[in-house]
Amino acid sequence: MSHKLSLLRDQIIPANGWNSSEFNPYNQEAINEITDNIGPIEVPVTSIPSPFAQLHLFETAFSFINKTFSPERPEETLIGETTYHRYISQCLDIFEILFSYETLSLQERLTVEVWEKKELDELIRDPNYGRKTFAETLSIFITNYNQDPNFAIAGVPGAYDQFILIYLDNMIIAGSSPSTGFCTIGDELPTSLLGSFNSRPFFSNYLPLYDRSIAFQKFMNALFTKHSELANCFEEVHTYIINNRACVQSPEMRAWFADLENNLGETELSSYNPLVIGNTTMSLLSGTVPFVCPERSVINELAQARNSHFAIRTSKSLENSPLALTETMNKDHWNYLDGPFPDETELNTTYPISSRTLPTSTTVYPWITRDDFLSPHLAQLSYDVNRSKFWLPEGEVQNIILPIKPAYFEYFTINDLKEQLHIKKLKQGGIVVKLNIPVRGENRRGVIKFERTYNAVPVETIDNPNNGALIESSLVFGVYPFFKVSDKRYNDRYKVLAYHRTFEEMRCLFLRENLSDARNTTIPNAIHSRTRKEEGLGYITNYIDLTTISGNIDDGIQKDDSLDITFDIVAITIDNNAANCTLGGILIPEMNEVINLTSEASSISFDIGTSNSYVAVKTGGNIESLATFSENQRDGLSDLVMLHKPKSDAAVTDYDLEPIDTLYGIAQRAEFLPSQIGNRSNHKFPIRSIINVDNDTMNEELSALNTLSDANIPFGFGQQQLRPNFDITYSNIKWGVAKDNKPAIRRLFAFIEQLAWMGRNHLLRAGKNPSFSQVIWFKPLSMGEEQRILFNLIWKAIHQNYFGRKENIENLTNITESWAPVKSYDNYLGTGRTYMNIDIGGGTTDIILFDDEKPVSTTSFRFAGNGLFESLSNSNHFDNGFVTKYEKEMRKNFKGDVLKEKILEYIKESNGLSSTDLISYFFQHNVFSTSLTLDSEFKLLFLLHNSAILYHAAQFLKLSKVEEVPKYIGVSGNGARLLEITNGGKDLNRNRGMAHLATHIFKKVFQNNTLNPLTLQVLDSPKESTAKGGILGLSHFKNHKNADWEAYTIALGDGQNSYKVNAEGEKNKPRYAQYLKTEDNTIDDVAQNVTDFFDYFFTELWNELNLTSNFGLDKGFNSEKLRQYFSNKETIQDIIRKEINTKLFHEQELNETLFFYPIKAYLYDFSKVLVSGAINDYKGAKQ
Amino acid sequence: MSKPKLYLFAVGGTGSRVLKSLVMLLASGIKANTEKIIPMIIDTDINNGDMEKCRNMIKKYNRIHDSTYKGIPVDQDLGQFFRTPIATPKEMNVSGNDYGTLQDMLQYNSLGARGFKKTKGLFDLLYNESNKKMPLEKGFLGNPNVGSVVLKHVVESQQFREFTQDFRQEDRIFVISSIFGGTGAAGFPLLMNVFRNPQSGMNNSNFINNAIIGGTSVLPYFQVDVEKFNNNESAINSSTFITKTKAALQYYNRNLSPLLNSLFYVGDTRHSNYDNCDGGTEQKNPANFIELTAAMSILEFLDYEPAATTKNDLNQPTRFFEYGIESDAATLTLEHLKSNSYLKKLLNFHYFNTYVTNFMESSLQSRTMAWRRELKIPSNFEKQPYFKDLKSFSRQCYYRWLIELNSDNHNRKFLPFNLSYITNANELKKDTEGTLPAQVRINKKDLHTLVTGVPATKQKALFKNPMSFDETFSNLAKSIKKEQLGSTERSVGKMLSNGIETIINQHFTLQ
Repeated sequence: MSHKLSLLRDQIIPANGWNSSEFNPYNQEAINEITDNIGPIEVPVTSIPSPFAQLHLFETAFSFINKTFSPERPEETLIGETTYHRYISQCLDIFEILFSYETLSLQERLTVEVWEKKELDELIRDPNYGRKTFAETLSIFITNYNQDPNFAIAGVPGAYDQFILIYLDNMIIAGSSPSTGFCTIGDELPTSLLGSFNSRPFFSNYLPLYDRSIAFQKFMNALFTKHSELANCFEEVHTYIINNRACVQSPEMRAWFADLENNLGETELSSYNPLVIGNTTMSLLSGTVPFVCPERSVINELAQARNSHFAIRTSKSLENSPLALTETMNKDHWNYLDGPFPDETELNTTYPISSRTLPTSTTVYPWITRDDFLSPHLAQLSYDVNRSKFWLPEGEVQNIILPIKPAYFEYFTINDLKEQLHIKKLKQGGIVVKLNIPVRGENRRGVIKFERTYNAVPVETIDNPNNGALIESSLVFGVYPFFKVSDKRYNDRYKVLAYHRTFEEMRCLFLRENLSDARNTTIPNAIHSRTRKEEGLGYITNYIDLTTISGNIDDGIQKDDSLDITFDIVAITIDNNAANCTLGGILIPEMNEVINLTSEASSISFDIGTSNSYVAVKTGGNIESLATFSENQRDGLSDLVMLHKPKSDAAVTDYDLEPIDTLYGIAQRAEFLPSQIGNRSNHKFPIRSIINVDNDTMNEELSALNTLSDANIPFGFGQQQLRPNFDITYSNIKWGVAKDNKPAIRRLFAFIEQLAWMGRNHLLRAGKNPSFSQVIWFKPLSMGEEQRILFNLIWKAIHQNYFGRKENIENLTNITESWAPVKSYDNYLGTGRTYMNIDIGGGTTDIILFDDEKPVSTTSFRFAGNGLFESLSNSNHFDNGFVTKYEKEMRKNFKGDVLKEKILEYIKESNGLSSTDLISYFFQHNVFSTSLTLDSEFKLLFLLHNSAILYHAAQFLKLSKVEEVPKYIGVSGNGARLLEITNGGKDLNRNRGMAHLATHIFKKVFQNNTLNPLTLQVLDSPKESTAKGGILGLSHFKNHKNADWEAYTIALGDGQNSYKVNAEGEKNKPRYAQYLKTEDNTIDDVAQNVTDFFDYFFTELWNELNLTSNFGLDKGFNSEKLRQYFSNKETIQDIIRKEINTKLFHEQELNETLFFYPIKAYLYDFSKVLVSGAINDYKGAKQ
Repeated sequence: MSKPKLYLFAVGGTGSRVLKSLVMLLASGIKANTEKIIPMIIDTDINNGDMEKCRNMIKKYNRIHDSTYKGIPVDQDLGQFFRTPIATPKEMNVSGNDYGTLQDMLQYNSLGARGFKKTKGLFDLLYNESNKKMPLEKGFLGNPNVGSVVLKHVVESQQFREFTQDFRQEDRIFVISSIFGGTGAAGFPLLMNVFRNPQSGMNNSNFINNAIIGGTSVLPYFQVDVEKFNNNESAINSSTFITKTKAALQYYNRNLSPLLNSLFYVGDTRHSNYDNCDGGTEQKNPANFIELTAAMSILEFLDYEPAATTKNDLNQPTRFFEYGIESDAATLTLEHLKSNSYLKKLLNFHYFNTYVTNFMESSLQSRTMAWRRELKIPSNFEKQPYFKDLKSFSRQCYYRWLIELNSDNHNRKFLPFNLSYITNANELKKDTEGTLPAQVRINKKDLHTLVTGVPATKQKALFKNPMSFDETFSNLAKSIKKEQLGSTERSVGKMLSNGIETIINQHFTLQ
């Protein structure tokens, strides 16, 4: 024997050389034995030397799988990912698509055309040579193929003479095949067509026959059994169908197969109708075997679905209650559509619930399953949730975000969730989340359980959809304000705080529950990330605005009262980049019952001072300081509510983020507001008039600062650590406003808006309808026209949007700062007929003279508390002798107290702050006041400062021509505290104290030594007096509306002249420009008056009042040298002239006295002398 | 009755290479039961390097044949070197350049507009996008389903028409192709469908329809560098050769074999390794033993049922043929062709070439050479075309062929003769153009060492009585002179044929 040269290994043959045989050595059996060096993987097989190769591929595929089929392990062959499995699956898909043509309603998508061989006769005559060749080639091959004896046996003449071409959405996908029934095109097939069984997209995967629907399996078996032509011509397909029976385990199906041989498929096929597509009656083998399919009955299935035992029971009113399904249910006794739900039916959730077809059916009807409602992973928090504010089910697990998807609320209500959701902690640490979905089965007592167990394992280790990962989240969350009121116009703005670390990203969806509609309302919102990832702080702070208010102070603000922005559900999505997963969950904020609003009277007044601000509210009997929580019931109503649970014995700070995370705590202080502001809190009014603005907010480009998103009042300023470089703190916000300084307007607006919003929320929490509330704001008399217009604009806008409607505008009142405090005095002895109040603020001092409580003369000037401490340098905002001396002292004093040192640094480094802010901070420490009180050198400046005000007040009084000099002078405002320092103690009326000094000055000015001694009245809380007085005296103020404005008088400063600025008939109002004219003597006269004041101070007053003894002034001072220094008339003239020139930029008409310009300059200058060696020039014995 | 002509359709690269081996066999004097072999070369690849070599070799063969046997009846001088007439090949180059792509060929985009929308649909069903848009310029690159249409053009060619016009009833057709490539794989079934199509309407269609037709399907016997396919440098992926072959074999089994009278299959599990190139001038694969067996199949076919004129004369359906060798050795020698009728002819031809390359020129130049004087060989005969062609055929074709059969690319080499006497073997291997002549240096004392596998007998005697070509020829010269053969070339040819046969008979015992 010889060795045979063959593709098969180790073959022998009788002789050397060529051997002849009558048998084909490469018959089907031998071909299968050839070792394929590729193996059963994806190989494009286009090697069949025929134009009809594509058809052969399918037969080859069936043949290959049939040959390797093993009845012992049938699945091993029938399931696979090879080319062969692909071709088989695609062939079956075409059979199934046609079988489902009616039930899937494919009339619009599926079309067919019939190709006839006779078309080639035409093509052969085409002048194009290539076409002719193609036509001839096909013709030759078809002739040959038609001679296949199998077709003759089956009685199919011309099997290749006709092809049915099948198009999906006008694209060819397949055609008939005389060897396998159908074959598909060789290119990628579309997966847009969904099958009825498991909603599987056709051509999306390789599915053997036995894995397809029972109905289709029965159809294929019956079809090939009934028509022997198919079994003969599609022999490999037929074998494949029979092989698949080995994989069917169901006894019912096995019995059906057994019965098939008896009825030859008649029973199954008799219920089907011939399939007609367009005008083509579909058939196999060129019309030999008709193709049949089941008829569609959608209406029936819809009714079945609605009555299904699996239909959910819900509190929502739904047209179609979805069916609750799981892949393993063991509910064989329940009715699904017209029988039990088939075991192991795969549930495909790719498509939205509302557009799903029912499993095993083609009817579109909603159904739900676990993955629709339960998130794949569970977000675990580092803190317990405040369950009294955010709902969680009872149980041990209190530190999670509920892993419920928002889709749940399209079918159920929040109350349903509370019934259905159960969360349990396993001993091993895992958390089981279970939804018991009530359904119609078991006489409407049935339940389908959606359940998932979450474990603290990496996401990538989860290999079973029954499990999920427990992933830690850094999220903290808060809502402001945390209540709803009955008048929805006032549910107009919610601000949501959400912080997280940079390894996470977060999105929020706010939903309001609709009980009668599957669709819940999505509340539009705008998110602003103030601290962003790239800023490198390791965390991200987000503020989300939900509001009906839009627009800005520049272009106008609108409020749409038709909108309802209240929400019941917050759906949160967290992308965890570290764990490489997305966490989804919901929060159910429980804002308790809606607060009913009454029309009972209430009042709120806003005193926005240069340095400090105060808000007073009256909702009941007492006037209170504005608070953001019910001070009597701290756990009850609080406007800002955080997600975390405070301790049971909570301190004020426990409601804030500091205890959760120090960095978050700093961010909250710097960027937002504390949870609790009020008298019992660390944060209370009065507050500094400052505002924090996001460092990278481009003020020039921004049309508005969004309050509590990119601008806020830093309540922790001066008390707690803030963040230098990331927020800019601005002071002096009140006086910087001018129409050409829009950033300043925006900052002022944001400051007022935050206070107004907080105040309005206070009223709402107290059940007061804000439109019935009296809203009072205060203005200094010296305010320029431009400023007055801007302030009015801001307050009107705020009132309209936060307090009421246009028609309630009469409830908005503005009162002069200095008038209001009068009404806050509890002076049962009365104030006498004539009364003067001096309100010394940070920036302005207002004086009002009352005659029988009515303002008869008022004035105001920009010389007040800050006049001592401010820097007049353009380059150094901290250039002042007080700073030079006391910064060192205070640093020494702070030594070791890191927080205080950091605050000091913060102020000095902030671009928006100045020396007065630093001094204000020092004033928070008693040691500073004490030091100042005992500072015999700087006491000189205090005495000069106070005396100048009193001197001018006396001159003003004199010019007012009142009939009697008042006995009492009220001193209000924070600046009044300076009098106490000058005085060396709180009692201003002490022997030889401030009152005595005032009396002396008044006697001097009036040139009347018989004047009664004056009594100075100061409130305990001078800053509060304005706001409180405003409320108390509101009716009075309204009765004398504009009295103070009409009585506004400017004493020029020369001691001789004054002008009633707003009096009727005053046509020739004094203008700054006229003072610069050479013939005008005003500057000279004022300089003389100032010189007189200094002369008086350093001679008569100094000696007669013995300032060194009675006020602790340095005995080393040489009053004469000092007088010479201060009384330089030329210098004084220059200062006045310079100031007038500066004024001319903004103002034309005189709006304050000229008296204080030199005083302020001298105080500033001498403060620097005091801390230099030059001070010695002013000491020593008198010459 | 006259002998049949054989229309030998050599399709694709493998077809050309088999033809080359056939030329060697015919040069060796193997008797072919045919009046004439008419090669019909079909390729889409007009620049195919294998074809060019084949064309040159046949030219040389024909010059030798014509100068020796022109005008001599076909039944005379049988068994002599270069005896069987080979017609100038009819080349049917189906240049893909003419069409671009299959889609272009059909002017696909306007099919619908011309009223052939359904045919367009059928075309889309039968061919995928890459089939439709594959450039045809370098063959069908393993897509014979495309080739089966494009190659139909050959039927329309002048050469094919000449074939149909000349075809006589007794003539036979043989098709050589590979099953795993593109052109050959597509061409074989297409040709068979055409030949057997009763409605073809071609000349002598009745004769052709009923002719005895055979074919050899060469199964995968080489593989190409898969890296080039993986790096997109070539479209040929030989890792799919077997898979594709299996698919094609199924088609042959069911649809093709019934059309044939004799179907020869030869393949090998020991594969050769070739460079991967998509055709073109680079495709010059070394000659392979499998191709030699395929060449033998042609001669075998001519001897199949020699009395039968048409397929109707055959009393049996398709006969299948496969090739046997003595044992499954990696290097085959003449021993592995034991009992093979071709063995002796190959041996003769080798000694013929040995003489032509080493000794004949000096003998022709020797004034004392008896056979030269006897046959009155002109003094400058060694410079005349006959000898130059002999020498050229030997040095440029024969020895190169031997070297190729023993190429390191082959996992089954054919080494019938000792190649160590070729002094420039390495240069020859590198010379892909095939123009470099072999340098052969053999001393007379080495003549008994030329054959591998089949030992020369009576070795001892050989030393005493060494082979002497000139002596043997001189002994024959007188009788040849008497035959008055008419031309010096014919006389020399007969002398060489008979003389070498005598020497081989004296020195080798063949079973």
